[in-house]
Amino acid sequence: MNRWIFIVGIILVVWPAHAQSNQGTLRFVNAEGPTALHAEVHWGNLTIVGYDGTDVVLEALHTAEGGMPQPASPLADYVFVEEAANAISLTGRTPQGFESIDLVIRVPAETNIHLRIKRGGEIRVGSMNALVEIDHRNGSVVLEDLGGHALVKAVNGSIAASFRGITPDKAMSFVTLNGEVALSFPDDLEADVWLRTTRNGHVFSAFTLPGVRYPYAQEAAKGTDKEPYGSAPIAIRAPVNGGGPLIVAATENGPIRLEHHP
Amino acid sequence: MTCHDAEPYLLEYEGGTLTEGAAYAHIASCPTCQNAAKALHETQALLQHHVLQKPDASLRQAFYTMLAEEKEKMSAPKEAWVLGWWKDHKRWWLGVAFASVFLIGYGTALWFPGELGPSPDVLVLLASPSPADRLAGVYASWEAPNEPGTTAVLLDLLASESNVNVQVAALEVLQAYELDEATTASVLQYLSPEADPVMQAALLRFITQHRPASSATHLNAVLATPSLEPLIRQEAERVLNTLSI
Repeated sequence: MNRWIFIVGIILVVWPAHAQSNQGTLRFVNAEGPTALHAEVHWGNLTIVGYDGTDVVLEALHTAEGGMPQPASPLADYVFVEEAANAISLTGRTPQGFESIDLVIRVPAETNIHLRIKRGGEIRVGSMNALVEIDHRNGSVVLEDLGGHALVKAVNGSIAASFRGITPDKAMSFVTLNGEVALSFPDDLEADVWLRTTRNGHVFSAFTLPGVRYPYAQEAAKGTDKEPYGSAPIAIRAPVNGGGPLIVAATENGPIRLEHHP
Repeated sequence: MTCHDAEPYLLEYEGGTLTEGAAYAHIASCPTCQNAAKALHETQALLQHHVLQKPDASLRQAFYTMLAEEKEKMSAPKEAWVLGWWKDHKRWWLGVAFASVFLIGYGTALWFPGELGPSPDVLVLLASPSPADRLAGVYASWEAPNEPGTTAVLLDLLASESNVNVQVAALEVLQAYELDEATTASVLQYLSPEADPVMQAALLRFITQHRPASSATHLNAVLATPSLEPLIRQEAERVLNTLSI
């Protein structure tokens, strides 16, 4: 018995790069931290949390049709893991029936991340300082406490992004087919904003948009009780605090809001 | 009386012909002048023993040859001082020439960006591995006049771009341009049932603006898709009705 414990122990010690437990958790140990992370599922939620470290820690939950979320175990049956050139790729398996796979990932805050949900779910990202690139089909996108820049595309779902700071000289774009785009930035934001809503929307900006005659921005800034939703397209291009990198916010159906970061 | 004042009298003093006066008194009591007088005396002695050398037989001929060459130079047309300076500073001239060509080319691209397509700065952005930089490059192209070079670059980007945000931006810029039928038709190919719905929406706006000839065919193909997003279906039907008017 002691001999077998010794052999298993040796195997676990020499297993390269990561050790796999049976709790649906995977840890990538990397002295430098990855430069990029790609995570993709068909159905399910993607939650990314940035932290000050070098390891990537993955936790996967599987929800079978009509069931409750359970640790995805063994992990390799649910998530395909690939690591190459200091970039990590995590891909949820093709659904078997109506199932979902949730990925919760702790990643170094300076990692560029690319997230994709092919069918539906929710994407939440917090405390990241590099590029956040999102390709989402159905569901909301919530980005909090960002310090970098983002390119977000959603089909059916709102986009909410809050920045404590932005990467200078990096353009950003937040585009959805159906849903609100709500962005918040520090008071001293310097950017060129391009805001477009095609229908059923309005534009509210807590930032002064010089030269903008669009009434809804002014009305909403006055704190009116009811925010008017117009049926006609609204397109605004204006500098904020003198101008700077480009920020595009566009929705085919819904309002656009620019707020001050709390 | 200083050493400088007494210097002309050193030879006389050494020769023994200077026996009185202020110069004599100074030299006689000044160690510096004494040494100088001694050195003069030694030099004179060497000169007295110097043997005059006879010139070589070829010296005369060499002299007359040099004289003839000088005469020829003086009678030949004077080359421009620039040419002479060029011969002496060839590397400097080549460096100036290369720098001038580069600056003229770069300046032309900046001053007339549209005639050559996007400016070099924009091209760098469009070729960047960062999708954020490519996005900035696309919208920067909007500032360039509607020139074939810029349009071609944006069409290439549409074909190769993987990020939908950047693709939509390229369509938005192309929509604002005046385009020929061939170009609008090439953009129309991206309207397919498989295209991303956000791209489909941008393409519908493009069709509304430019009305490419084969729009109806593409719109009908898209409308035949059962899984088409409801908003896209609604908009595609509206555009089709508009085209038929």
